[in-house]
Amino acid sequence: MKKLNILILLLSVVMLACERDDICAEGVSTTPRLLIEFYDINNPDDLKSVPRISVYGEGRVVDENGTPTEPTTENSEGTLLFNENSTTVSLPLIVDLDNNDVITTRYILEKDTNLRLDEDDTTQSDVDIIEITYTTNFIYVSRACGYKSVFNNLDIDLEPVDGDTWINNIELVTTEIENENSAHVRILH
Amino acid sequence: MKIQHTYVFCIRSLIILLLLSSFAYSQEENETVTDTLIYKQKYGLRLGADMSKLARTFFEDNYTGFEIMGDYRLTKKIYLAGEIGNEERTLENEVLNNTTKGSYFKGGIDLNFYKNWLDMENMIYIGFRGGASTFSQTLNSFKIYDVNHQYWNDDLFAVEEGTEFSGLTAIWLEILIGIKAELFNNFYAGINAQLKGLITETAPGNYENLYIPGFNRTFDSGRFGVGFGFNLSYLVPIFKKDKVIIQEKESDE
Repeated sequence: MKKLNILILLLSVVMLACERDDICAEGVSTTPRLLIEFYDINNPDDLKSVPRISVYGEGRVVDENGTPTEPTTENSEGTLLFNENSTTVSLPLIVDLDNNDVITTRYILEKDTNLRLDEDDTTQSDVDIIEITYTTNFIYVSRACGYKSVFNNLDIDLEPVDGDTWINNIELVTTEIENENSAHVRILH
Repeated sequence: MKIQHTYVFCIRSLIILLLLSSFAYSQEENETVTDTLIYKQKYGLRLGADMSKLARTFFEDNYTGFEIMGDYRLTKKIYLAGEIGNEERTLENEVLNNTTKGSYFKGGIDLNFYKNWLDMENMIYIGFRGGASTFSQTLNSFKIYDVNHQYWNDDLFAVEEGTEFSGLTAIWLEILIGIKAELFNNFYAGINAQLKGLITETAPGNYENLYIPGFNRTFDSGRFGVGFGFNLSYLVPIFKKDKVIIQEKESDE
């Protein structure tokens, strides 16, 4: 009888050990974002914050009719940064099919957002668009997290909206985005 | 008169001494008796099937499988034991949908630690097994985990086309603890719990073995696996051996 009790105990321990482990833990490195740091064009080793910058994906900020617009408040949906001084920004990239096709994600970087927001119509913000192109590669992580995507063959083009650009130069630190440990891109201004 | 008296005394004391010593001697002789009982023990091949796997096949959508088990009694305590089976298991969570199919074989010994009463032939045993499996995994669909996916898409990006990884193998060792009890003549029921340690596996590139037939599901944290079984089996008696029990009993007198 005693031996049977021990057996039942053992069985229940085995049952209890079968916990759910299909929830992806927060600390696990999954699909990375594109990390950009802003540097001083005159002093390329020094970080320099961009005054009153707003960052949002092209077409992500929409008005009530669904047409793309510019963010007007901090709470505008789709705004990554709004009207703040920042030396860095992290951009989520669109994940698409893994068939070696080049994927494009476009972001709007607006400097001096306060000049657009204020009453004075003579001064305006400076809007630049960056076009990020890359290919995806899917890497297995774990049973709980499934796969992540890393990004290869990174390239960034600058598209001035109104003739003059506040961005002077874009330097790629790497063309492979595998994690978020360090910046992938330096923007000089 | 005096001499006669001494004579009588001598003879008397001699008789008493003899009596006493003979009494003591007989005491020693009759203290214990040995009693020998002989029971016939059946030796043979016990064949059975795992009922839990059959039940899961009927009641679980994601599982199909069976296992045939057998053991052969070598000595009073040692049994040669093995299992052979086939399983198909689909694991599904938020990011993966995977089907594993394959067969396995396990072989080893069972050691009976239960001291049976009289002519009973039940078992409480510890078993040791080596296991091997060949299988294939089909990744039916998967999702790209991205905590920031909602910025561009409401849903995680999903790849629906299946990929089959075939020719996979695994080898493991197993310790199990269980009981087998004779329900009625030659018909046994048993339960056991298994702890497994993976020795080697061939895992697909850019993926892993989520489930191994016979080993059951793998864990992220290590190379261990667990399992249990509930089996019904029938003993085909081949020969009989005497089980001799020597009992020592104290005599009443």
